[in-house]
Amino acid sequence: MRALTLLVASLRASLEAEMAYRADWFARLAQTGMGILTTLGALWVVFAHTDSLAGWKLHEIVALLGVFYIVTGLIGTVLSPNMARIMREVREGTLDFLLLKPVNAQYFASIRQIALWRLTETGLGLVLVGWSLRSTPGAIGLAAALRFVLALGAGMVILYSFWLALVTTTFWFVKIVNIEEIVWQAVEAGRYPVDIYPRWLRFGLSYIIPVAFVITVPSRSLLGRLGWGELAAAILLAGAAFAATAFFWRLGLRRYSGASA
Amino acid sequence: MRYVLGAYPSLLRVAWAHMLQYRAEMVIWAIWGLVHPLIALAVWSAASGGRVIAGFDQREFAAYFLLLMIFGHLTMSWDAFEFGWLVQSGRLSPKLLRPIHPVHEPIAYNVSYKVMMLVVLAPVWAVLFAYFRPWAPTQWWHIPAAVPALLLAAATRFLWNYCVAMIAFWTTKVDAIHQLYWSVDQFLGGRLGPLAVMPGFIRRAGAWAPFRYMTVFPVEIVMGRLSGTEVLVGLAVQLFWLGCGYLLFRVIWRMGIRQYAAVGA
Repeated sequence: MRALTLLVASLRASLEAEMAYRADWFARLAQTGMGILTTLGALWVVFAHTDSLAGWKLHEIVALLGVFYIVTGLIGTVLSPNMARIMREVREGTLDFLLLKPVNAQYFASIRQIALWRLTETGLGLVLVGWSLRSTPGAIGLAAALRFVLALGAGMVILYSFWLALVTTTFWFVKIVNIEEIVWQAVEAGRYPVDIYPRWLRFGLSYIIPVAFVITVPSRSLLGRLGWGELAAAILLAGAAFAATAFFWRLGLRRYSGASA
Repeated sequence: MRYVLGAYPSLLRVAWAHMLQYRAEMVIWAIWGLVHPLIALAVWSAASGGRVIAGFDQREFAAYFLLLMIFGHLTMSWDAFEFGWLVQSGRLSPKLLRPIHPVHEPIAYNVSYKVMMLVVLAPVWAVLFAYFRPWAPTQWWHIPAAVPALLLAAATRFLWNYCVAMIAFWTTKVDAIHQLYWSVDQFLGGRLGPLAVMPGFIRRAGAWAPFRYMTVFPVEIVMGRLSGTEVLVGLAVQLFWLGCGYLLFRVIWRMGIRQYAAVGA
């Protein structure tokens, strides 16, 4: 129960901080909007020359673009601020303040910093998904939504586990390397379906930096192209990744000696 | 003028040493220069699927985007990101006290970065060339013709990017404006794809707009599809946009600095 209270507190703190800068919110909305329009324009140019891109039709790729923005919004809201903060505090030795609190360290470290404003990207992504699939039967409906949420959830857990594992290496290699930038670079490749890439890159984007699981796979579920078997496999993979990372995190914590210890 | 030139050896030495300390971060940042063209290449390869689009086949698309990767690196500038921070934090103030214009420091950093990253990027480019086996109807004279185009492009882009960056004198919302500028550059500057594959009105707008002459014009020269006359005309247009960029730079700077007020100013 306390865990939930902490999450709500984080959200409220973020909201209060950001309501003070409403003009910024409009500027960021405009910025994301322009980014979306640019990619839509690019797709429009490409589809003037072809009917499908690696088997994906235009409205399907637009749906995937929507999922892309849903995901980048979620990453920017909850994932990247916390990961960056963990790395900074390990390097500065101030992680002690986190470890001394009477709550699971990994949980609190993962939810304490929230940037609510990035949910505008998620919102725009949802709009894009809804608009692109408006004439697709079966894409809107309880079963489809459930499949999508499960696929997206599994993907986000896999990405979170991967990122936290990378951040945990900071306990051994304290020097800050800008890991976040590498993740964003891989995520950028997820702007289009991973099917357009050669097989070795598709493998890398699925199992090395798991971008495919977080963008392409949920998009396929929206289009009815994800079997229940695949979905189950993704969920199992998410569970395994989470367990492995939690174990690795505890190993890293044992290694940690703070500024005062 | 002698003042300024005399400062450059020191400026370059400092910039080099500074960046050498942060080389890991620099390399990670430089990867962006690989990511965008490669994604675009994957998209167009998938779209063409073996066919020819606007005279570009698979290997010519590869040639185009690999050249864009190289020339993009050699013409890039990042002041739009940094200048806003300098203005808002007041860190611009001490730089204004120097006897040379603050712009020379970013120029030194810009050149150092490009040269330093060649150590890491050149092998990657070589591997990509071997992997994609690009081809284009290039003739020998296209290579030396591209050199002045490249230098003019780098200078033009630096100045124009700096002008966009200087909007930070008036607003904190530079990111949004920069996004607009970047979006237009995607279409008119040949970043999404060669201007030849763009729809007519984009192609016509792009032919004379400054964006083409900031990065993609040298690429087009080396791709071998421009005639000698077109190259010469293009170089002249580059000089024109470079001149405009310089004038714009002087005007915006004078207006901006007059109303700059921050810690220490």
